[in-house]
Amino acid sequence: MIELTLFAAAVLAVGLYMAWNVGANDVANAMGTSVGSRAITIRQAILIAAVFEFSGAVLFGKHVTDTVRKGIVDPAAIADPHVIALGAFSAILAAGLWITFATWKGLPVSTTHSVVGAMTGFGLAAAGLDVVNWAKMGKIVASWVVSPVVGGIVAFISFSLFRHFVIRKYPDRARLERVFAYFQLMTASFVAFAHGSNDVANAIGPVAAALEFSREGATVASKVPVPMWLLAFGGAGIVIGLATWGYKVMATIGERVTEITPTRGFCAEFATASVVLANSQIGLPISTTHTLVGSVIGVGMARGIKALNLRIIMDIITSWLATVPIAAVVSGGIFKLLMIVR
Amino acid sequence: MGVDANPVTVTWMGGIGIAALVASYLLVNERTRQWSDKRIVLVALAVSFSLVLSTERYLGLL
Repeated sequence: MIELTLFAAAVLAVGLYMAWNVGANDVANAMGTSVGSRAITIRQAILIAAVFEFSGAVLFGKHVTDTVRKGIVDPAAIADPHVIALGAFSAILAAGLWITFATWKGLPVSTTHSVVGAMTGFGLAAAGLDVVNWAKMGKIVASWVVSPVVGGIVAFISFSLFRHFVIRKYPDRARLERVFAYFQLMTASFVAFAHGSNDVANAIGPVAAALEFSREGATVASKVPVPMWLLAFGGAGIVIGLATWGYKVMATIGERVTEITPTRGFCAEFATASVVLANSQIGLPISTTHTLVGSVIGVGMARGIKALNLRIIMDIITSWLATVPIAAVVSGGIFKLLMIVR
Repeated sequence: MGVDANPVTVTWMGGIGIAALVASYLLVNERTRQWSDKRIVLVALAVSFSLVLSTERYLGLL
């Protein structure tokens, strides 16, 4: 059991805030196209996402997590575990603030990159350039290109083939869309489940690290345990986030990039899920958020470039480029401040 | 986010993908295009998941 110190309470509060952000920004990955295509209402999307996100987090969330997300900073280089605890706290607060801003603007950003950027900022502030794994940072930068391009290509090809072999041969378009609304929903449920199981760590990983290393007698380790109650805590935060603020980014993904119908939404979601699934075997630097946006652009491109809202796409890309540096700067600043006042 | 390719995720996604192909075929086929939407979806899912699960069992994944 954790000691109920003021710091532990603050960590849990910030962890809940981060989980809320993860839910609010990332629910669009799963449900944005389904809502945009009118296959389901926002209320139905929230209910479905809530069930699958929470189930994924609790049933398949990892019980051991990296001390530092994706190992971007070597914790052993920072000898004092209490410093790591403060750094983890700074990171989740900074990442949360950035994601809140992005969600307010309706921009889908990678919550993983936000946490990685924030951890980098803490690492730089605590121990300088050498503590950061720059090779991993290079992979993250590469994912800005790889993820949307791969997602876009797969979605473009699959929708083009579908249009050639099915849509053109079947005159009743409305009926086709009705049937594919079912498959779109099933794919969306999968993405919600997978997101819950994997991305709860974005909120809970730093919380677990902060709680673990703030204990008396704690020693630095690269992995920390994640108890079941913490997974449920993170899952609940994600559900509250998607229910209260998820509509903003869902509107961007589902309506503002390109017009989405159930057949297009299915191709985009299926392409995203396939790419992310295949990546677990290949090991490319892939972000689900970036892959989904690329997939939505891909199905739009299959109808021609005029089908795309280029302005919103540029805004989204700008937010991706800004994620890591802004999270890093804010996190470094918060960490420095906490080190002065502690 | 990454998703591990385990039997649950592969079955889920494989089943949906093949079901979409089967449903597309049922929609364009003269003999089955008159079926109701739900019948087409359910038959497609039944065929696809049977295929995916039996293949996984044959390959020793289940």
